[in-house]
Amino acid sequence: MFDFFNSIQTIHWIVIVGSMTLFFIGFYGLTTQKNLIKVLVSFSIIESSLFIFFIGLHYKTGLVAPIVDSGLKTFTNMVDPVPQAMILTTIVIGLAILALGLSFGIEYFKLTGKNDISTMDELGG
Amino acid sequence: MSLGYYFLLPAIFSFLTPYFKRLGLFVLRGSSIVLMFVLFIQTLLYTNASLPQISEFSVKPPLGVAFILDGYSLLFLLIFTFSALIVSFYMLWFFSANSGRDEARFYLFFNMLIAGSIGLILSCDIFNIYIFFEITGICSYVLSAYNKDKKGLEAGIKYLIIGSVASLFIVFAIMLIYLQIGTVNLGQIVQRFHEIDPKLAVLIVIMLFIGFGTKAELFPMNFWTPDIYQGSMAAINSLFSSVVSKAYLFVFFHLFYLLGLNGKYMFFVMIIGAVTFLISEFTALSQTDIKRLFAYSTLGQLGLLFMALSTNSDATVSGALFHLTSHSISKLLIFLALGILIHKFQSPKINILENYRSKFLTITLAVSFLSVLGIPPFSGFVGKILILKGFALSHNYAAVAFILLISIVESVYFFRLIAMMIDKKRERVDISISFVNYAILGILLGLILLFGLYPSLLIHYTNLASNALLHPQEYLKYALGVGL
Repeated sequence: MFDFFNSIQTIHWIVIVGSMTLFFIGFYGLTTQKNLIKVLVSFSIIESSLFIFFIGLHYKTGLVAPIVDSGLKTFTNMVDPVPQAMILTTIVIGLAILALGLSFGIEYFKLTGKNDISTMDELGG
Repeated sequence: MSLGYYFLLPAIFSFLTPYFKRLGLFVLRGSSIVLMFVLFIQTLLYTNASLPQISEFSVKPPLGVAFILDGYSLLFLLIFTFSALIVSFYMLWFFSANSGRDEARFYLFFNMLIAGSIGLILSCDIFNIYIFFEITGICSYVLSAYNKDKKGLEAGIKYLIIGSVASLFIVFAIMLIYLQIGTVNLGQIVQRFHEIDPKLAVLIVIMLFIGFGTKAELFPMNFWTPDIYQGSMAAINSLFSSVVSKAYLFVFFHLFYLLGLNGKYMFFVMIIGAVTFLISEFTALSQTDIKRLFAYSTLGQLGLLFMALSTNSDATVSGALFHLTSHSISKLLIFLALGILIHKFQSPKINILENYRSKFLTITLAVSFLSVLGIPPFSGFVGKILILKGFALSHNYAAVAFILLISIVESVYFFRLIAMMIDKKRERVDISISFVNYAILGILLGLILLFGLYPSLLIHYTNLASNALLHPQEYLKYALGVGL
């Protein structure tokens, strides 16, 4: 009776619903939070939701990993490795931006004692 | 030289920065100049080569990654390497006038910024375009926060948040494209774009539009630009104005014409460009901060370029690319000259133009203002007249009237600035200009005059570029790896 949960459609629906929920949690944080660190965390959540969405929709059952040792003799019965490579790259980039944003936040806090983005008003005409 | 070195050399120099610093400041400053000089000379050599050129890495496209240089990217490569060379010379003066700055940090991100911008215009693979988009983005966030003061950090934080939102849209668009047609190669995407469900295709186009439009400073998404310009140094503003925003504009129109969106969305982009032009020029009238004022002026010119580049007619696009080149040169001159004034008076207010005494600076600034405005015999005139001629040839007289009307608004603030510079009643302070700055501003002034008096020198390349942009069959053949 649990075969239902192993079918590819169910897994895809779970991934879609889960990642969209995560996306809206991040979006909510992005629009309501004023604290710079919370804003950056919301970004991370949105990014993660996109990654889960993409990787999850590429999940397939009954195929082997695209490594020559794992029983792969021809290039027919394997999983597409490109999404994983793309997502790994994107995760690294997202991490770099998060680190940079946090370091900006720390420097700004040291100078002004504030980390609220709504009170950043040095610039303006 | 393989095209890969256009990205590799600046990246390697960027990573070697700590060692150069250990060898001395002279090596650090010199290495950047040597690098940009080599890249510029190499690009000049490519002007005689047969185009397009391709360099694939290990595997041939469409499976592998490749760089393609066609007429369109050649023009931008010339602009970028030339601007980088000029800015690296300018930094010689800047760092000797402001000693004690963290020079290594500047050169690290400056070289990487050039590497990213060049990668953005050469790669023929949408995922690599995203990676270079992020490299350029991260470097510009750090550079805009280079002065670690309140304004600089605020500009950096704002730019980072806006940039991350833009990149989320692009990632999502790339994922949707990959889910639908299973490829990231531009040639294959173009071939199979019609297989995507039309509704989903609209979503993808909107996401790419928001992502690249935000970075290319298009109207509803450009509210952040003046803040960034105000918070960062003048030399970095010159890079943003003549390299970074132009690189994003390149990608925007490259995808626009490759994906064949010029039929459906031409009118839309034209209207958005016109609105950008209109609002920016009117807002510029009331600015008191000089860097903000020229940020709005840059936005206005970009709006004009968006209007003209989306027309799908050879004459207008060629004229727009001429105007783009001359705008890059003029804005480089304006921001670098303003950098000298801001350094002298330690104030970014507009009235610094009333307080200095230097005939050379007045002449160079006035010429570049008039060039942006489109007054003969300077290069901006040729660009603007070619755009107007193109619009008139395609019987779009409304656009001609609109551009001329907005140019009147533009002339109000430019002539006000010129009047401030030549006002004789003011008490003025003598300003000393170093030899490097005489040379840099002199070269830029010479180019404005040269392209104004002999436009055929540049028109050859802009025609090549517009031809490559509007008729990308050759490019697609190379991107697909046919006949390699």
